[in-house]
This record gives sequence, C-alpha cells and structure tokens, in this order.
Amino acid sequence: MLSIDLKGKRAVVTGGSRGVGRATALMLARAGADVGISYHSRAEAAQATVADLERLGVRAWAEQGDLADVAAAERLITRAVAEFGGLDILIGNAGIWPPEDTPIARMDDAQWRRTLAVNLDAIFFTTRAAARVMESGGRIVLVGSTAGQRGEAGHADYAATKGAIISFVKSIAIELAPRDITVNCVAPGWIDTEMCAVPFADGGRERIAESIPLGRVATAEDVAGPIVFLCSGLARHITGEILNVNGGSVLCG
Amino acid sequence: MKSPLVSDAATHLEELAALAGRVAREMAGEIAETAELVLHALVGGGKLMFCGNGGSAADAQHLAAEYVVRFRRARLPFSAIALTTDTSVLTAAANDLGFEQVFARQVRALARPGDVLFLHSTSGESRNLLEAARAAAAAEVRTVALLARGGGPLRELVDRALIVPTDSVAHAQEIHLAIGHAICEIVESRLATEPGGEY
Repeated sequence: MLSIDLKGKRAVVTGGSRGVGRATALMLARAGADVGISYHSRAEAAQATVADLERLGVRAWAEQGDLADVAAAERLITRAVAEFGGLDILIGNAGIWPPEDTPIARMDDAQWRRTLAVNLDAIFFTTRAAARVMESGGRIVLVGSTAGQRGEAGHADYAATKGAIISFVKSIAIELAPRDITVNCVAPGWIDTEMCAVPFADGGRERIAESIPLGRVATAEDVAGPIVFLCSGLARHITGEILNVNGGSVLCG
Repeated sequence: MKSPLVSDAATHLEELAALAGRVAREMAGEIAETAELVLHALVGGGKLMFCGNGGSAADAQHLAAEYVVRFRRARLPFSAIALTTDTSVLTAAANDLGFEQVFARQVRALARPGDVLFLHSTSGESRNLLEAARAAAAAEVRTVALLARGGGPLRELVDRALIVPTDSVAHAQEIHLAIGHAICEIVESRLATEPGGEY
C-alpha cells in the first residue's frame, strides 16, 4: 500500500499549538517525523500537542517565542539542530488574521506593522535561519491564503503578507533548488479553526460554507494533508508552487 | 627493561589521558553549551573568529580550517577565520599600533554582532588577547576563552571561559585543540551536508 514515510526526518512547525499547525505537526508525526513546534502564548495547548506527538512515538518539543523577533526565530532553528541533530522540514504556519473588518482609510500603523511583523518578518527570519542549516532534500512549506491571490476587502494588511509569501516562495524555490530543497506554499481558504471564530459566529459559518463550491469549510486536517504531501517524496519535483486548498473558492472569487 | 625514552613518552601521554578524562568528566557540559552557542551563531548567519599566540595561534588556524573546509564529513562551508594568518595585517598592526593591538584591530575591522570570538591562551595574560576580548565586547561579539592555569585576567573579560585544570602549557594546548575538535564535531554533525554527499 502506498504511504507517506517521513521516518528520520526532522521537522519544525511554527504555530503548532493549535489549528493548522497542530494538525500538521500530528500528521507529520503519524508519517514518522520528529517534530518541534513553536508557540507564542498558549503554553498548555503547546504541551498538549507535544504529549500527543510523543504518544505517536516521535521526538517532540515546544519552544515559546515571538518569531517576529529575529533572536527567537533563530533560537527555534538552533534548538531543532541541537536536539534533533539537523533540520529537514520547515512549516511556516504561524500567523495572525485581525478579525475586525478594517478599511484602509481606518487601518492604523500599529495594526499594519504588527500583521507584517507576525506574518511576514517571522517567515523571513525562520526561513532564512532554516536555509542556512537545512539538509539537502529538505522541504519548506509556507502557509499562504486565498487572500494572497484575490485580496480580501477589510484585511489589506493580512492579504498583503500572504501575497508577499507567494513571491517569497517563488524566489527562494529557485535559490534553494541546487541544494535539492523544495519551497512551496499551501494557500487555504476558510478553515474550521480559532482564527475564524469571529466570522463563523451567528450563522456566518453556514453562509460561508454555501459560498464555497465544495459546500464546506475545511478542517485543519484538510490543510495539513496537502502540506504533508509536499513534504513527502511524492512531491520531490514540485517547487515554487502555490497549492490552493480552498474547496474551489478562488475559482469563483 | 624499558628505556627512559619510552618511559618519558608514556608518561607524557598518560598525563594527557588523565587530564582528558578529567576534562570529559568535569567540562562536558560547558563544552556542549559552547557548541550550542556556535550553532546559534551559525544559524544566525554569524561567523567564528579565532586567535592566540604561538602554539595557540596554530590551534586558532587549525580550527578555523576545520570549519571552512571540513572536519569529518562533507557539508556546507561555515564562516570562520583565524586572526593569526595575515602577515601584512599582523606586521602593519604590530608596527604601527603595537603588538597588543594585532587581534583587536582585526576584531574591530571584521566583527559583526552575533559573531563569536575564540581566544586560546594557556596563561590568560597576553595583552593582545585581553585587548581582543575588549574589542569583541564593544562589537557585540560573544567571546569564548580556552584557558588553563586558573584562567588569568582573560577569564573576567569573556562570556564563557573554558579553563582546563592543568599548569602544563603543553597539555593545555593539546586539550584546547581537543575541545575545539569536540565543538566542531558537534556543530558539523548537526548542520547540513553538501548536496550530493562527498564534495
């Protein structure tokens, strides 16, 4: 039977305490990979993820930090190489989506700076550090969004960071190809995670589901699966690609 | 009957082995922490600088070469430089600024925040190393001194002092090189191999 085997691979998942990051961490572990996660504020959730990972028989740990701080991002990658003995997989997942609709005329500098710092600076810092040490045959998967391709009214800050991730991925995919490291983006639409709690309230979830061609909101596992696929040998010839995981949303957006 | 020459040779090596065993028991933790400091510097894009006088100068350039080229396995090159090798710089600095400035001047010229400076000294008293440590601190460079004989004044000027418990200059230098190799082996085993395996 065909299966994905990541035994012996050493992975870091940013924002791994919940949502897509947690689901990805667990799926990587089910495929046999050792997994370190970063988290910002949810220590208990992060420890629960670590416990679940360890129950799957892999090495696991959680590192607290604000990855928009370059020192924290580099500490995360240093811990991976120190404890695991190297780094094969980086999943750049951590990010924020300020839930309130904020037209550009009313978006303040602080929100703009914070969203860019968390969603883009952190990706740059962690990816740069990983690129310095990642093994040949490595995999980098960054989590984008439908918003990065078709924009998102009221969320220009978020959409700008996710659009930037696409061009970032396409650039470093070429740079790292000679080292046989692939770099791809998985771009989800609406997902059933805490990030979407505000728009999902008061019947919002159902209205949103009706707008998606496949008629449902994705689970975190629906997004984790394609991420893990891109980390597998099956995807070794895919690089610089944006893999949409949105139930067809962008097609009608 | 064993010749005195054989006996002397054996004595030197047995003393070294005993010292190495003691260092393994007492200093492995400090050595591992230093390796982690080096890993963090390289992950952050920093470089390693090495300096020392005489036999310690030889250690410095020996270890810089391990990082730039290879130790045990093919892998990406690491950024490392010995401050003991450029005779134009060394003679100009010594002639124009004084011998105590030969390393400090290079630290001021080359160092960037996040780099690491290794200072090898059996006495911990060499003025050019004390000046280099001060210059490194001013440049936000982390400093590691490999010392012996109690460490001397240099131990107070560095972030991390690895003090080998011996009064023997020869054994101190031998153990300094071994510690340098241990750190290099830890670092090299954790960072990326060169694509295609052997270079």
